[in-house]
Amino acid sequence: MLRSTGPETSPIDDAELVRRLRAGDEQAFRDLVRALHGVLITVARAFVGSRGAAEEVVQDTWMAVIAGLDQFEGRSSLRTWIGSVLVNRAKTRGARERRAVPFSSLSPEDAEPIEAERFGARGFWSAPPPAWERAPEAAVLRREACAQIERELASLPATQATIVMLRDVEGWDADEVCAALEITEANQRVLLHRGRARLRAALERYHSGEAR
Amino acid sequence: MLSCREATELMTDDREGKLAESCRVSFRFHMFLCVHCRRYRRQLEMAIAAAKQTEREEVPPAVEEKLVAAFRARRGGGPDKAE
Repeated sequence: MLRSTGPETSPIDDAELVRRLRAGDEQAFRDLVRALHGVLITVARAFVGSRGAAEEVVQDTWMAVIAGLDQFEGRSSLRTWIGSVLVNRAKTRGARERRAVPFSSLSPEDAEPIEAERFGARGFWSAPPPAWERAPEAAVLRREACAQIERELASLPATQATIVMLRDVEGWDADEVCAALEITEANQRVLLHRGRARLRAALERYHSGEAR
Repeated sequence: MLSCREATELMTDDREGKLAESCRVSFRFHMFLCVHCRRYRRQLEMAIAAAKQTEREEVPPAVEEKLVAAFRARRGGGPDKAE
């Protein structure tokens, strides 16, 4: 019972959850793993070179969380704390792989979210967004649109994917994301904006019938 | 007047409540006048709503069992007295 209100993932009372975990409640731990494992993999992927390395980092993180539960002081949310345990490990691993630290600067792949050709010389739309005819009422269309979004999420630069995943898929708030990733609020917002713009563009392709 | 390109760049800032007072008026004015940017913003919202509904990746059962076993080994006896 990790989620309390609606479809968004907001933790149940952290204090209660931590109390149960410290008391050895296996179901509470299982629920926590199920709720966070996927998103931790996504975050780790931003730091390390391969899927396999990300999985190792995430498993190490869970071990550290199990061992360190007594050190959790409740100054952040539990998931933010787990996120920062992960980020520390992933950074170390990334450094060993001699990879550049992600999130520290914008990379070329974080380019303009809307193609420049769509604006005229003065910055007004020359190719404005078309109306989306395929209204999303039918469940089958909604599923197709979601599948399109899932594909686009998987092909986003890892930094953008991480932020969009945490904010829009998992429902973390900006403060939690910044604390876990140790990034500035402004940097977080730029990546969120670019990632969302790419998701919108993917839906535009879907609605215009362009297969991917 | 703010250009459409500038307006689209400010949409997330506005949604996050981070638009500077000085920008806010020109942004709102642009949005009031520009049907294309209003559509763009609606479509951004649809993308965000769709992202909310994507399936989360599930933890492989073998990994889950391994982690639960580690949890049981360390915490099964209740609060950790070792530290």
